[in-house]
Amino acid sequence: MNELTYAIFLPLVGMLAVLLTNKEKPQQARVVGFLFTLVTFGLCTLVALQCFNAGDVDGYHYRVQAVWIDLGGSFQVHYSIGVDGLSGMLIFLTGLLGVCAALASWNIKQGTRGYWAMFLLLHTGVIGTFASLDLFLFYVFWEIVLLPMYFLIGVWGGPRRRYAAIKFFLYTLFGSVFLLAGILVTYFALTATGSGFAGNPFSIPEITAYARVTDNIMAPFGESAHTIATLVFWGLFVAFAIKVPVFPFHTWLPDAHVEAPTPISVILAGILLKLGAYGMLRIGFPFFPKILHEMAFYLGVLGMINIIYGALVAMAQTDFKRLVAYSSVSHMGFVILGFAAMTPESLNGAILMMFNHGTISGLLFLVVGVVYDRAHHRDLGRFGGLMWNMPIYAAISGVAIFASLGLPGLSGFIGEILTLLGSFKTTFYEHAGLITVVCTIGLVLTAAYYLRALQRVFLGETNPECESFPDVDTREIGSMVPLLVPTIVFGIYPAPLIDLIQGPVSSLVLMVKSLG
Amino acid sequence: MMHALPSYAVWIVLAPALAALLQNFCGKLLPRKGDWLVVGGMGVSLALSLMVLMEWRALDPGHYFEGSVTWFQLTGGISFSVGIVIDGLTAAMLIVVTLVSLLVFVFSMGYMKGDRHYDRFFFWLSFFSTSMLILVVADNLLLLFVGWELVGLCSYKLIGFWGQDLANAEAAKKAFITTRVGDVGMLIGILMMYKACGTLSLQGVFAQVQAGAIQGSALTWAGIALFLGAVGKSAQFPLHVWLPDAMAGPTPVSALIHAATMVAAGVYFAARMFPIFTPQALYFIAWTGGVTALLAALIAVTQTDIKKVLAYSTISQLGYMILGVGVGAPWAAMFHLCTHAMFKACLFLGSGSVIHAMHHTQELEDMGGLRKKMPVTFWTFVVSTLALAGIPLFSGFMSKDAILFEALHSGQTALFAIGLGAAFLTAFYMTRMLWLCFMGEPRNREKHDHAHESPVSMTLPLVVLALLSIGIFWGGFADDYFTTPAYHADYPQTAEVAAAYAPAGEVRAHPHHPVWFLLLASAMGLGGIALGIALFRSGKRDQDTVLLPEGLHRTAKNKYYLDDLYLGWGFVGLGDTLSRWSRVADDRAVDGAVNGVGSAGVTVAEISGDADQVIVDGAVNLVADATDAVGGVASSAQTGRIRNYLGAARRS
Repeated sequence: MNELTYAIFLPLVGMLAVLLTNKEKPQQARVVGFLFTLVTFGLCTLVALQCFNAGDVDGYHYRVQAVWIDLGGSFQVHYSIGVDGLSGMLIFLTGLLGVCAALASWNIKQGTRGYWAMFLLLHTGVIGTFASLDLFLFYVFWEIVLLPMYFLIGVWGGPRRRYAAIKFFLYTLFGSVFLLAGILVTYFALTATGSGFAGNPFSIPEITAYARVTDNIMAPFGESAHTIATLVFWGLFVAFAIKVPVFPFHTWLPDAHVEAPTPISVILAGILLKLGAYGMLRIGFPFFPKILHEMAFYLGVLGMINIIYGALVAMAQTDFKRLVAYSSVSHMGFVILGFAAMTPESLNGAILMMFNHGTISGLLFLVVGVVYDRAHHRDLGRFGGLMWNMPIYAAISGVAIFASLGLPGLSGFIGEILTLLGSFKTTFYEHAGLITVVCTIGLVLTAAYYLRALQRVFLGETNPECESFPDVDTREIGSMVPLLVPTIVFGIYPAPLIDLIQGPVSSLVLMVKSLG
Repeated sequence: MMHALPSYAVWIVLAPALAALLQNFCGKLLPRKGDWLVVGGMGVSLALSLMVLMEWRALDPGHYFEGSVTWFQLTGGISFSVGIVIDGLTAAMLIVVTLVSLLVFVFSMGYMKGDRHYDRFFFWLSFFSTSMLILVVADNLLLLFVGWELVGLCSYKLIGFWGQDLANAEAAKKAFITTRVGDVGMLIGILMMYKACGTLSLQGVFAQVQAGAIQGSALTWAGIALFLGAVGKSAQFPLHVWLPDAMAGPTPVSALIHAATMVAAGVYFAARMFPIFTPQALYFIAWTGGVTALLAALIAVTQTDIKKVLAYSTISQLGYMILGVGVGAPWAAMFHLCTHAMFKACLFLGSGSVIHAMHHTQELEDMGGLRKKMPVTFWTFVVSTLALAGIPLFSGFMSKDAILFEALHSGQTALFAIGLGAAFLTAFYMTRMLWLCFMGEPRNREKHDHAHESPVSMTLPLVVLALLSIGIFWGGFADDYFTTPAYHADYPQTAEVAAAYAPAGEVRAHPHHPVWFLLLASAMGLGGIALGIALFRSGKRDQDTVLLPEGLHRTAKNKYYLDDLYLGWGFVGLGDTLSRWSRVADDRAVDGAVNGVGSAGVTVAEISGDADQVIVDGAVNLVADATDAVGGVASSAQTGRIRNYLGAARRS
């Protein structure tokens, strides 16, 4: 047992504790829920700090491996966990956003106990997914995430919550089928006669190491090995792409965001989207490096489409929250673009983008939540001049918006510029330069939709409807500051984050180098 | 030769940054809202800039200071640093930026007195100067880009400073987005350089270009891409449209950002990157500058808003500077940048003084006869107008002549002719404005009666800037600072350019202008002034069309319809249309397909429900169960309400 295991299961304990609170006194559930979130954040921070040191076993920290399900033969599922800089960073992000989302959950008035129970269960699912080093365990945690998310949107959401929740659930379940199929095909390939693999066919590190030294882990399938590997690669890609989300699998996102309550939007954009990108880096790409090389061009194109198309659709939105949701589609495109190029610059950029998009979009959804709490609508046409009666709110929103549009000095910039530098220079696939140049148009579009939104909400004469809005209160500021600080600090000095992820990045770079 | 950077030099940037921070967080608690902090920070920065200048001048020619620290490191030994380089180019820019900043800050203490957001104004001013200094001292393209974008942010904030008025907010947005179009070009240039050179440090890039890491048309395109950044920031055609609108900002902002420093950053950048420009790229640059100089001067002739005239004049003068770079004389461009910063800041602050006195009237229509009411403003305005018009003995004459001479010298006669024409127009429209504003009879009695000379905090900067517009201060300036810039020696591009533009073996650094040339150049300035006086002495305003044919006048007054084009089907129209289409496609096609698959699944399930109980019913049940579960929890969430309802019923 170690801190990582505690970080995974403490929220589960918290869920039980919340359910034991007095139903008549919702404040109890809030306080208990918040305390568990806070302690979980502490544990997550410890875990992340540990990742600055050299790894203990095969580059991972807090390694635990115990047999969980034993069906005899090679079918042995392990409780196998561990973190490296990449998962450590994302686990830290989970804890951080958890605290902010918890503070923003204070005004959930109905079914408080149920809400906080689901909220904590979500933590277990997410942290567990990031920590899993066993494919089966990964799949279990991956599915656990769905359940609380479905209820959190479906019960505590907006007017069309049922539609959004079912769409989210079925869509991601559809993706999970591909994930499960991919895991099973991999299992059969590795255990088939003729496979040179001697290890545990569910162990992510062992399969990764094997894929590095063998031509194709699907080799036992004989002549169709390459086709099957390609199909499994794309199957896994679709499973993860739905979460990211990659065009054309993105339409669940705006619906889910618009209907989800503010804190759930924060977690959805900040963390759940990263699960998909994380899955690609941890499973999809390392298992099939050669296929990745062949398909990198298409990944680059998909990244480009996400960036440009997401920005264009964002520009046409009139709902503040939908606009921010589509901006996520656009920004996650940079992550895919960076992955496709597989250079040290682009991978660093893409992974930084994952973290920084987490804090910035989280902040943006809190910003939308504040104004929604006051106006009870999000129609960009019905605000105006909030800068003059809500100056603190306007200042925080300004930082969030400019960070998101990639202003230097704020954290969005470093990820974006590194991704572009790496993507332009890569020789990993053809026409990368052209694709990158097209992506830079996204920078103008992003500036256009954000500045328009900023103008419509904050500038001009104060809209009479909005005159009575009070500025942000202490709790609201408290929920935003933990995201504001990394946005500024890592914008000026990104070195700590970059140091944290050099381990995983260099192993990916080595993987690509070995392809020749 | 490189020398270690003096340790205090970093405070040139940090002092105003610290002042901005302190003032931002404590300004409301401090006396005078902490404006003295900001002014003091800038004073320190100016003093340190002077010190570093002295130290630099003590070095041998061609030597410079450099110091940098690692910013972050990636795997594989890839490292990004932040650093400062101080050569002649930097040293001169430092003085220009810190001096004009300081004077504008002092001026603002009077001009912005009593504004509701006085403290915020000083914060953004100080933040701007900090960003501008970062841009100027940066020793690598990444840091330069950081400063470049940050000045854009400050410009956005300050143009929209009075953002209650949506027109100001619009202008701010337009400025930010238009310059970002240029910035994307610059970014692509940076990407190309990084790919070819593997580094972003200026020295590294120059060394790699020298070694042939990138050459031929690729180098030309990289140069043009980088130059697009300057087209946006320095408001060159066709991206100049934001600068006139940017006059919506308070006048000190116009003087500091949109006349003297930020808009000149493009010129500075072009001069800085000069060693990488191929002759083809320079040809593109020269024509961009020439066309801008002439077309903007034509518009200036037709404007009736005092700040708009100055704005178009600025665009035109920036065109001159870009022309200077393009004809292979970045030193002349930088010289003009420095002199222009002083007299144009003086003109803008002078116009601010007038606007202040006239209670925020900017229309020349309402002015006239102000010379007696505002003698200091008037005389400083006259001096800087003479400098801008290029009259001998004033600073503008020296620098403008240098550019014109280099244009002639490069053998591009057409560009030289354009330059002469623009010089004539410049003298003319400045005389027209001076006359309509200060001479003749007052056209608006009421406003005239209320007008008064501005307080010392406003007139003092005017006097200092006017003094600096006199030629005597600038003798030998260009030679001292720009003819031997550390970066520019011995690069093949420079040699190629020199070979293309100058007769073999001739030393270009110190050309002696022949007498006929000096006479011709002076004649343009004097001729423009003479015509201006002749036409406007009567005080009538309908003389505008005398100089330009009716059609040309109307076209110029409408800014060549470029704004309408951009809004109609250019950038904005196209972007909006694409955006609308994308949204419809997303809602109908992409999401429609998803919903279609969903409802198709349900339909198939209904039809074959009897036939295949196991699979299809399973899916339907799944949907049903899921829905049920939502409903179940939702209703349990509402039990509180039911109880309340019952409770209410029992009480009644």
